[in-house]
Amino acid sequence: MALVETLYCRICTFPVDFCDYNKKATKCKAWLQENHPAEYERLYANKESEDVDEKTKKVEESLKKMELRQEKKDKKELEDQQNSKIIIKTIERTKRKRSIEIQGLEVFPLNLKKLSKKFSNKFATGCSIVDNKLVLQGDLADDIEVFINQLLKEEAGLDGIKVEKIVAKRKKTEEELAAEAAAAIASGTSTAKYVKGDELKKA
Amino acid sequence: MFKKLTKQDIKGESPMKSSFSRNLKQELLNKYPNMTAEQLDEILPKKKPISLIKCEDRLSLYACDSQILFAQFYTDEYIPHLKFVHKFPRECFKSLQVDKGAIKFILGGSDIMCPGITSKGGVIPSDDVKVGDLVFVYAEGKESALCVGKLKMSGEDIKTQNKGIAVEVIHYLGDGLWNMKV
Repeated sequence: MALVETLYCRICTFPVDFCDYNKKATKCKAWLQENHPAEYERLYANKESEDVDEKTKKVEESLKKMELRQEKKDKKELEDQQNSKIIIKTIERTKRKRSIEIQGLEVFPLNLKKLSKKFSNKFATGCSIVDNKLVLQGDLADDIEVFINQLLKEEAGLDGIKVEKIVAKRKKTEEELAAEAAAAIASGTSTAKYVKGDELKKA
Repeated sequence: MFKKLTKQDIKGESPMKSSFSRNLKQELLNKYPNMTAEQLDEILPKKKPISLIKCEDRLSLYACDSQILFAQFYTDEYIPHLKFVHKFPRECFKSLQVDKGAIKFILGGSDIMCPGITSKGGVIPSDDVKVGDLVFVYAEGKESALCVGKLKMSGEDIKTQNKGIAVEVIHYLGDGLWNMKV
């Protein structure tokens, strides 16, 4: 006795005969028609001609409503994804060492944990997740930009997501800034005093 | 029960010994006499180890070949994943059938009420299914199972009382367990 082969819908992951009860039924139908025309015939062909009783009608109506709602939600989600931006930030660790921080990946249907493993495998560096940001060790901004674009195309079918690169200098600490200002005054090049929380202004 | 299960609930994954796989197969054969050893070998090949995924609240999931096959609370009965259920013909399981109207609510996560089973499209479970047994729920006009639940009333009671919860739904299409990927 062989196993029963069940065909699962690629869109909603349900067995195809339950696509009706999903929130993306129209999309499912289109997919089925394209990929498994025989199944589609069997499930939906004689539906219109069949006279439906009161109860089924009611069910169908409420299903349609549900679908509409879901569609709106999906649309919004997609828009969010299109509008969102991935920020790749290069942080200066020491003079010659950089690390990369990738922001804004959480909107996409990607598994950050798996992604971090992928990154560390591909680029042979350490990669960790720090509150929804990926932090990679090494100056890899260019390589990562290419890789992320490719990844989004393959995994999520999204194209043309904005990727922005930022280079952040290592922030100077308060003490360092104060010391610098003091040194400048002492050498006579500047008369400005360092004010806490303010940028160094040159007179 | 698995409605809110997400990836965050996973605590860790570890491979199991092959002896565990052997025992599991034996247990399944005892429980579902209509299954054959060859079928099980196909789903749980000897070469591929079963992995145990531990989750919150003493829930353990058993997966093979990156597909979850069973869930288990504490050391209770194994609750088969629906993908596993779909691989076998309906005769293998203790089953019942609900009418069309009930499908939507079940997929929304509600329990099964008596009228959904006693109405025209439903099939009442046979007498050898006892209260507390795992039952597999099929639907009118559909081929695949849509949920796994625990029977709360005997077939006789469902017929005579026709009121209240008949099956407590544990796992259904589209819930957290169904959508979980490992």
